[in-house]
Amino acid sequence: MRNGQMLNTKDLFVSFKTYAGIVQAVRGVSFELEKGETLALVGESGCGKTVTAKALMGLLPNEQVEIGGEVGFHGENLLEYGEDEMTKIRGKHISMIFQDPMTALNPTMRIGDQIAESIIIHEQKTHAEARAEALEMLELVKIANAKERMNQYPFEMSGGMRQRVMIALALACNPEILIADEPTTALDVTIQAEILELIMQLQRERDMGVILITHDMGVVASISERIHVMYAGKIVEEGSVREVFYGPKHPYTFALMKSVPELSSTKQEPLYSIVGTPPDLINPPQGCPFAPRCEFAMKICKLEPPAGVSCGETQRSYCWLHHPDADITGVPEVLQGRSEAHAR
Amino acid sequence: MPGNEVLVKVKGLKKYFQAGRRRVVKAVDDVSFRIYRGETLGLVGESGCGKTTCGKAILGLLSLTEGEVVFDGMKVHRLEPSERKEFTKRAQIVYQDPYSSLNPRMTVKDIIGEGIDVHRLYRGKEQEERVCELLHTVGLNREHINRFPHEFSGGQRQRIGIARALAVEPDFVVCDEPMSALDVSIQAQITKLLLRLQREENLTYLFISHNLAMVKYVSDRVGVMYLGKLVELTTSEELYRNPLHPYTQALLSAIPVADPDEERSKERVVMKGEIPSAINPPAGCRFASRCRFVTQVCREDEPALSEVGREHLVACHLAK
Repeated sequence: MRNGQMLNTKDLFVSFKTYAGIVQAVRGVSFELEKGETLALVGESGCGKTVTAKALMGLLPNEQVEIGGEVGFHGENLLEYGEDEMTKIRGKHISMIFQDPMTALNPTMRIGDQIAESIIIHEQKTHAEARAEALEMLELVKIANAKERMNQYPFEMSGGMRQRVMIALALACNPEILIADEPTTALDVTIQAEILELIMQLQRERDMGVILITHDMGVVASISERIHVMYAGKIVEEGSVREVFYGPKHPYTFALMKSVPELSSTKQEPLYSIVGTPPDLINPPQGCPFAPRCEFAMKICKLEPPAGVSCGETQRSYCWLHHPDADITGVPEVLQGRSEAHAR
Repeated sequence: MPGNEVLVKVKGLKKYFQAGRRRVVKAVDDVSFRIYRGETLGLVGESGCGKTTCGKAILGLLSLTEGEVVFDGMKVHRLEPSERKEFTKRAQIVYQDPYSSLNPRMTVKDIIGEGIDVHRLYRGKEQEERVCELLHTVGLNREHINRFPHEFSGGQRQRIGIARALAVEPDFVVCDEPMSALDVSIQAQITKLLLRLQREENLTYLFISHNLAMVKYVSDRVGVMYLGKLVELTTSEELYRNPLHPYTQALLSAIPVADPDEERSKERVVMKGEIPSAINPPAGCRFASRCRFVTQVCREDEPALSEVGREHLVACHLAK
């Protein structure tokens, strides 16, 4: 561990002031990203994964938002940086690919100029040099007829192509860290496969750290090394992809994986479904945030938030079921086995 | 259980849109299939393949360029006024986006009650009872009856949309991407609801989605569409076990599976390039430009959908 840690967050808190009250979107998120690895943040909408990413990038508005905790990058806390300093980090050291390639590009600028812009700003190159580099980037992300495409506008391209342009834009200044926020959600599966392949290939070539934000477990399985599952602003389970996929220890992770039909499953095998909806983060539940929907919830779950319990080499789960005194009758074996291990 | 009685017969359905002079979008181009009473027929394909257009045309929400749709003996696009009313009572739709498909200025009671009113099924107190019953069926309760759509979450809105479709006691429901705007845990809830309702009310579904795993799960038979054409049609088991069209194979292999070891070891069928435009599509097989097995004949001759096995239709020159 810790061989070349690039970025870490410690106890990140983000809350928004709204008319309805204070929304506690992120409530104490900590993780570390290592060189060359892909870390997946997984969860459903509203769980705080995008807000976490935006906090790292300094993209949250200053007004009506409160951010606490620490974002460590090269020994400095990015949360203390001002806008000018963040501008030097963004795009140059940490880049982001946004979910919707239809709206994240500037519709009034030619593709080539959009990519060249960040090169001119960060690397003090001339316009011509920057455009030459932009062309190389377009070729790198495998856009056919890159020369002609340089002079086109985003509306002239398909969704998959725009997402390639976004990747070219994000990687133009050779960043150390790439944050990909649902990079393929708006795309068709066949295009998704190509884009994921491209991200993986560029990551290997450049030894980048990637933070992948997604709700699709299949996407996580195909390109990540580690996974953090978020629910209601908190991390509920973390670990290596193999640990978590083959032995989920938190009931939410377990349910999330079981509620998606697999290609091999048939109507005869009923889908697992989670009752209810995620909690309102204006008044987040006092205990475990998943307790109101959890079929194994005990009395304590609603009263006190569970502590993280180590369940494997790198796996941690935040659930009371892992406590030696927990009542585990009726709990599926995958989840159960671990509580026994903990008791030992 | 699905029987052999044909409920919907789609014959040579063509829907072209004019996109400027001499530019024709062939959204659906000569598609034929049948839907049997009590079954779920799934339609899958990537965006722009014509699956939604197909669903809307079947309900008579779009006029046809050519072809016909016959619903239980009625020609959907040549209905007499009295027949039209009967048809709209018997065939309903659940839309993709639960945010924009409910009138924001109507209460739940009015949204669900509108169809009941139009068809004069129940009145006054009885109607209110019926609406409450429907809400209960879809997992909401009577307190929700006077609320407006914005007071509900996406999953709850989709339940309202389903209740609205069921209000007139239809035989046939087109589900147009009913899950895609919802979160994973909510998708499973809605899927279970749709399957339960099908059993209880003996409904026939046309289930449209780009999510092949989901379509495969809910459907008895699945049709795969590509650029306005039906390229493969078979039972969902057969489609998964023995996909014959190269496009279906590529589509199946592109779906990431939630299993890291399998995902990293499996060989992906890679497709070349992007989907060609449906504006003036190429002659020959429409998939030819991206197909790994393309031959000369594919570029010249359009393959017809033909039976290659029991209940297995494929439109490919190579699948014989």
